[in-house]
Amino acid sequence: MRTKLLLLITVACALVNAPAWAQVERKLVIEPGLPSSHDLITISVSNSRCFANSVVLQATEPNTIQIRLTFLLQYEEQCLRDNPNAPNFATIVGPLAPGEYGVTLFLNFGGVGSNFTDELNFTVIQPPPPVGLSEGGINGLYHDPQAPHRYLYVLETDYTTLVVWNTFDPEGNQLWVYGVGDRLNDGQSVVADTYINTSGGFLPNGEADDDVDRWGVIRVDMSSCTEARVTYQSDLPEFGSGEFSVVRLAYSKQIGCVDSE
Amino acid sequence: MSDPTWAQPERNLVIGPGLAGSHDLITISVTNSKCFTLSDVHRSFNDVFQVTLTYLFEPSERCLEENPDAPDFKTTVGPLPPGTYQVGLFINYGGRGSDLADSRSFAVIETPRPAADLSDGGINGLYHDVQAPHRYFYVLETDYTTLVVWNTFDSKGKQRWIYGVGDLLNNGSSVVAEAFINTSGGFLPNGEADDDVEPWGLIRLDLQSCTEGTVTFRRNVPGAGLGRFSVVRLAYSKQIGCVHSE
Repeated sequence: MRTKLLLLITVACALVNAPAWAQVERKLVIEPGLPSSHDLITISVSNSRCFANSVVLQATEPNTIQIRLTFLLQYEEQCLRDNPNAPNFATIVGPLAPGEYGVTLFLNFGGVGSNFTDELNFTVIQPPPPVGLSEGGINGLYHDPQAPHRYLYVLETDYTTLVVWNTFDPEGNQLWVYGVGDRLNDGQSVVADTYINTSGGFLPNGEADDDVDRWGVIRVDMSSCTEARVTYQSDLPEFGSGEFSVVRLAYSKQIGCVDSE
Repeated sequence: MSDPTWAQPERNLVIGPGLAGSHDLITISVTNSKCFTLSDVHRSFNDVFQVTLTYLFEPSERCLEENPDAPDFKTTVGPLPPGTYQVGLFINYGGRGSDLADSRSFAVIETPRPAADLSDGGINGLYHDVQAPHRYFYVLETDYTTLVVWNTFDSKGKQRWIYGVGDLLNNGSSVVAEAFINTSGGFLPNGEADDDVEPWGLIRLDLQSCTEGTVTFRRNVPGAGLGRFSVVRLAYSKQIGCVHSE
């Protein structure tokens, strides 16, 4: 009993006297939780601020990553004093092909060799399939192939659908008009009452002295996830009416779009 | 005898984001650096980072053969306090000592504390300037990058639209984009637009929550300082929404 008590006290004293880096547990952390094959993957190590050296090996075996962190007593103690908010170790890998991956963590405390400390496996998944036009696939950025530096973007919100056309007026000045409207044709079209804002600068109190005027109507008809026809009818005589074709420049990453068969 | 494949290309440091904030993780990558055998990142002083890449003949050659799409070296440091930092790149070919291959400096600016986590695309949507509510800021996260569009006015009250593409930072609550402005010369005789695209500067959005953020910008003109304004959200993406988790 006395021997056990002495041992317990000895261990407790050793822990109290041990340097800060020897008292904490260091674990691997992988983010995001369920990475897809499009993601960059962050591998970090908890309680690992103020390491002196990091070594990351990716090429030795397929689908395995080794991380070695070295902590040197004097370096770490000074660093912890000078940089109380120093970040934990973090590195980025990927994007990785779908599959199973393993990460191992080795810690080295001042030249006495690296000890295996933690191991974590993670799975890289195929991203979920994109949705159709009627489920939000219309969201995104489009341009006119004949005028590729003029853009149209569509954002479906909780209550309505926003259409913004960034273009030029007949004299070559930048022009932006915007509208909110409703979806038609099972979500494949949107018709928006459109407005143009003008500015008188700023008022003495710092607020903008802007005006909002009705511009007309813009209609977007998607024929597929990648192509659409834009028709407009302006109330302002200098803009008149017209139509042009657009092709998609970008999808919303989270929504995507797939054409039905 | 010619140099092995891994010894031939020039390797340079790339540091991002361009307008690094005091809450960002800062990415340090190296061009033409796939299939290194060992990487060593060392913070030798408070404001100096040293990156050493080692290439060993057999593992690097085998890796290049087996993994032609292997990624370049990339690591992150930070968040760092505002200031100026130096990075040195050393390349070691098979234990023959490390040679300085490149060095860069980068600045970190003070930025507001970002939202804890908007990593599921919550940044997508439409915002407006609190003081100028008819000027809009739009964010669209795409498969490869994140688009920001700022619809505003110039100092003479004329409409201006500026757009940029960049990367998300801080668990998806910030974006820094290289911005451009397009000008038009009308249409050519063949019916195509006679447009020009010019670099404009950098635009950065930091969301402090799903509803509030700060836009910081710097134009590409000599002596230009930082501009900054607060924004609030006007609309969410219906399909994505936004959850602000601590």
